[in-house]
Amino acid sequence: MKNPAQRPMPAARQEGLLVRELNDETLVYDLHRHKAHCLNSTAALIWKYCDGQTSESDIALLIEGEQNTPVHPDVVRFGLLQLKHTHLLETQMTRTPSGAGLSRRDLIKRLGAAAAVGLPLVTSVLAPRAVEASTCLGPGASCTVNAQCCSGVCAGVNCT
Amino acid sequence: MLSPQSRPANRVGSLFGGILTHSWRRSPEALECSDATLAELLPLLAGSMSGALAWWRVRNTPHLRASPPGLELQETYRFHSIRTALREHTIKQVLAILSAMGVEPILVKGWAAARLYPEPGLRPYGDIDLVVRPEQYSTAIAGAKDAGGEYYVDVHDGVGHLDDRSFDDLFERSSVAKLDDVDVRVLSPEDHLRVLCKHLLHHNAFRPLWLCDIGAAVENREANFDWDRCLGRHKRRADLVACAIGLAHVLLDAEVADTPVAKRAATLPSWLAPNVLKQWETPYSMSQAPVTHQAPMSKYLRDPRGLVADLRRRWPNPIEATVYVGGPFNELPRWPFQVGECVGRAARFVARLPRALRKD
Repeated sequence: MKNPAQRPMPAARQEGLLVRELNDETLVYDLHRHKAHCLNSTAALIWKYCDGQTSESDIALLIEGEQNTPVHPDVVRFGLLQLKHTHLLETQMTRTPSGAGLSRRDLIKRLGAAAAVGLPLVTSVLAPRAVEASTCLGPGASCTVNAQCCSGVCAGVNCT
Repeated sequence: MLSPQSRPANRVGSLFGGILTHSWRRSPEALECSDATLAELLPLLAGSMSGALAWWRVRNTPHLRASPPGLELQETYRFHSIRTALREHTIKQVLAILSAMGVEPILVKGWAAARLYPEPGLRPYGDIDLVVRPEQYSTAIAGAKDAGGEYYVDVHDGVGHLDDRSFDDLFERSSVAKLDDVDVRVLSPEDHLRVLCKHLLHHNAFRPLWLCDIGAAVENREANFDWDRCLGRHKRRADLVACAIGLAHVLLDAEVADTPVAKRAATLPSWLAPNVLKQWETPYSMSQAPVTHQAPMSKYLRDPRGLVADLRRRWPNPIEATVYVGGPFNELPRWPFQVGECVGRAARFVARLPRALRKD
């Protein structure tokens, strides 16, 4: 098992992502996996500071500065694990030896219920590609009725 | 403005309008309605691509924001925000390819309309409509096919039914808007608004989002907006544009007080707004012709079963018929225009018949 001190600094993945920042959350679409994710503000901050140079504890300090509230390094670790799980990090992170205690429930138990509000959260969002693929056919696709086509017109046997 | 109480016959349409009122603004008023009403309208909002705009209003109403339909609208908003990011990605790709081919299209509707909203994801769009010079059409089609991927890039050789101006005229007045670091050529604000108005009425105003586009275009115009250019010299066509803007005022409370169409907005023909509200009860393209047609007319030459029912389905909407025959938007009955459109369509059908029969 690696020494935590030797663990590579977390780096946010840059390639193949579309990012849209909204008011209090950040949406990320993975162009390779065709998955969409929603990062709450804490997760988005953690991701923002994953520059490959900043350690987990330093990220915690930076977020403390932005949010004006104490941030436990385990909160950052919890966010990083979610970002890793959703393929939003470049660096391979090694799960901490005490990683078993990094569930949302464990953190709330340890840090108090009030901390739940500020916990990082990465959730899945319905991906447009999957929906569009399942709801209508693109131009040139075989069709029998107009309703099958995204364009609404089935000309002969193909969608326009 | 119409209230749900004032027109019980168009209750759903009126509620729809109430939810989308001012929704294109940066800070619209918090929405006041019950959870049950929002739940009732949810399928219509989501199915007509208005869900993100509904969320924009719901987000400032605590009891709605946390309600199940409110949370669903928030998901719709996220979905469309991502979808719009993907569309913008495609726009950049297709414009780069077309630029390399020496084609500079004008992007109409879609992104051009969405950029006037506080966030582009609030105004989703399906197609990416690109207008090119007729002589560059086939080149542009090939380029769009390379770049479009699974998303639909719709190339037009001129603005066709959307406008009566030439491509060169529109191009000369067009401007360049920025999509991140990419230049996107869009219509001038005057031409953009006119095209939105014509497109709206050409399609019976069945999608409420299109009326929001008009509200956004009118309220975001610059002080030097050239109304003469927007309305044009042709009196009847100018009135069509004025009526469309008037609808945005009457149904969505778009601010028109300081415009030349303010008077017209207050005197719309009595059949117009109720007709639009009726359309909003089923605001889907699936509910519009030609999707609603059961079969091509030529099919009934071989087997006339179902012809009468299908003819009934083809009876044109009063708005569409008025636009089709170029009639005036006044208080006179609409049926002569509806008959006129049927005759026009029948004539086209007869003209195409020999070819259709040869094909069979």
